Amino acid sequence: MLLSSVILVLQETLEAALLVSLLLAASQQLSHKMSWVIYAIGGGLAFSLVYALEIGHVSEWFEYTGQEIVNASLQISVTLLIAICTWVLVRGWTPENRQRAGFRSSLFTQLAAATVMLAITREGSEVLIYLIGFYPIKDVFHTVTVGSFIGLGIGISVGVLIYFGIMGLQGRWQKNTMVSLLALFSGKMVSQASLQLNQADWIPSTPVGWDSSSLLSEESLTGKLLYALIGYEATPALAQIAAYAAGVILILITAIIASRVQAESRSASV
Amino acid sequence: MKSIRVFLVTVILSIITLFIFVAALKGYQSSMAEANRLFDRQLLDTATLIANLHTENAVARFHQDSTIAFQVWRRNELIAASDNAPDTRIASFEPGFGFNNFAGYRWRTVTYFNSLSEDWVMAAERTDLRNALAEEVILEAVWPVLLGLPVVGLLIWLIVSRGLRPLRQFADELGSKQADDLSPLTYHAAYQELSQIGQSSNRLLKRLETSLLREKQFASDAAHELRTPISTLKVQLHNAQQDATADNKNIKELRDSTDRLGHIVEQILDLYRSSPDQFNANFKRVDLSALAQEVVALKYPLFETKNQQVTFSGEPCYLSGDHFALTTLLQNLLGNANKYTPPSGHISVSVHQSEHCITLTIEDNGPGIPEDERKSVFQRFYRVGGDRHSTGEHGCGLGLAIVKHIVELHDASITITDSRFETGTAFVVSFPLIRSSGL
Repeated sequence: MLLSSVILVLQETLEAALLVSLLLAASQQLSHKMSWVIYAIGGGLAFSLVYALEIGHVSEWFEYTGQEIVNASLQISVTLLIAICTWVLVRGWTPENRQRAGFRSSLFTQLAAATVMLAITREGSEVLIYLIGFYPIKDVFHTVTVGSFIGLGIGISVGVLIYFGIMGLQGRWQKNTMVSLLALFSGKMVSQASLQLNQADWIPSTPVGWDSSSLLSEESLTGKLLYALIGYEATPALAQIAAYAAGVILILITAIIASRVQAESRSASV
Repeated sequence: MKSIRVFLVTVILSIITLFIFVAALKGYQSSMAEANRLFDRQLLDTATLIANLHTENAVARFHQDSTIAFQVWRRNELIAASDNAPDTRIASFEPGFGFNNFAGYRWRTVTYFNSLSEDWVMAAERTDLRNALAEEVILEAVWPVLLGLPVVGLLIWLIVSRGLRPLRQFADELGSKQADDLSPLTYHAAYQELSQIGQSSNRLLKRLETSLLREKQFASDAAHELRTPISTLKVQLHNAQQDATADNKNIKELRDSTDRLGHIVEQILDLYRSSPDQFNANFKRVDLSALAQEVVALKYPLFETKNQQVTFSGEPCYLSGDHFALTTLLQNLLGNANKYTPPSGHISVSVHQSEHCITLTIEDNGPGIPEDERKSVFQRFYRVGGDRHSTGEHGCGLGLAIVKHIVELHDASITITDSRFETGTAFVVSFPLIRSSGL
């Protein structure tokens, strides 16, 4: 039970910690502001509590597929916000670029806060639903709480180290690492959303694309960590693979176009 | 701004948390595996015991214990079983351990073959109960590690703060230096890590002191050396004008230029005389109101030339100040007002005392100073609109730099606001009141 709770909380916390670390590092580069993250996490936790408490009602929506549809909507919204964040990040990497593009200094922090808030609403609600489920069983709840605490601690620690790791990179390396990780994160979000929509019968089931469980099992610790960080699945359906690719490509194309627009704008002003 | 302390504390704490928690998980996994081995051995012992007991005794003994289920099979016939065991066999006819689901739970099973009686004894134990028991024992060991983490965090914070104290004190020593204090820093000497930065700072301070001295000396010497030839030039020009048969326009322009040159040299001298690190202040009790009236009277011919109306309001206000410096301040501010206020314009001078300070206000209805330039006018050689000032007045851009020096000398403050006239500027200088222990 302890291991199950560690893994569940760790997966959700790592996912959120990765996103927060990336956007926080980006906002340090763009506006040198950090306070937004406190409001975003606080808001996300408050919304996740409301969502977890109202999950019974939410589930009844859309002919009892409400939870899947709301989760998928949150994941797709997070992906679209990440795409806009990527645009602002690449287009306004330096103060001169931001001035040329006409971006307000607070634009990125507002977008990042909205992204983090939505992501934490979904991930926090999963943890809370799990904890609320075990709350009446006192003996087990004790173990689950310890497991959750350990999962939370490991997730936050990894997030902090990722943040300082990214902050330690310089210039183009830093920007490219951020964009690459945001692309992988978006791929995971869209892939999960496709799975949710498939569960709600909104998109058809597709055959399994490959089976890499002999190389790396989803059930192993490494497999679970990779799932949390980049959405690794040993037996993904074709629809999931397509969705993952769409999420990654969306961010990479956004970054490439933003970079070209930026270069054109710079050469025009010269 | 990035904080070294926050960086060190968060990174160290994150690494410690990561290692402690991963170690706790590994410890939990190993302990659970060991506990399961113990439970398995216990289950096998139980099966052996049942095999060696008479079946009636075994049924009676384990009747009350719902966590253990058993069956005894002889030649494919169930000859004895606990109450909670099903009718079907709970394990295979193979000696060893396994898992099975019955009675709504998952069970760990063991099969033992008694070669003497040729009985197959199958014992089973609920996995949820043995896991709960094992977890309870192991968590008792994990809890102190988790609870100790905030204490570790606090200790790291204190240790890092203590470790950074020399750096903070070094920064304090630098920060507390006066503008004119270029003496070497001493605090770094005791710390190996600060030695390099301390030595570099001291070398920089030394170079700064040398170049400042050279600059001051040059400006002062140049101004002094220029004064005499300019005075001679003025006399010669006066004589030349006297001797000229007609009103010579070139000589007049030459005199104006010489006057301006003389003014610049005087201003440069004033600037260096009034700089806080040069000025040998002679602070006395001064009535600012009376001094202001005196300077207005002194400058009156200039106002009269442009037919400007000067009004004065105020009451006796005593402050601790240098008479010469305050006179220079008033002369510069009134000179500026005279220069930039159009003919027949208005200039207002007021000196008032409030609860906290004495305020000198000089306002005019000139063209005014744009808001974004108000801070820059106190820089040396800065002129509003550059050399193309809308009034066409000449100046060297040193007057307000001198005023700023004098304001700093008196621990006063100066602000520029819009004047109460339709256009124009108000210079507001606020002087601190004399403290009771003072003059």
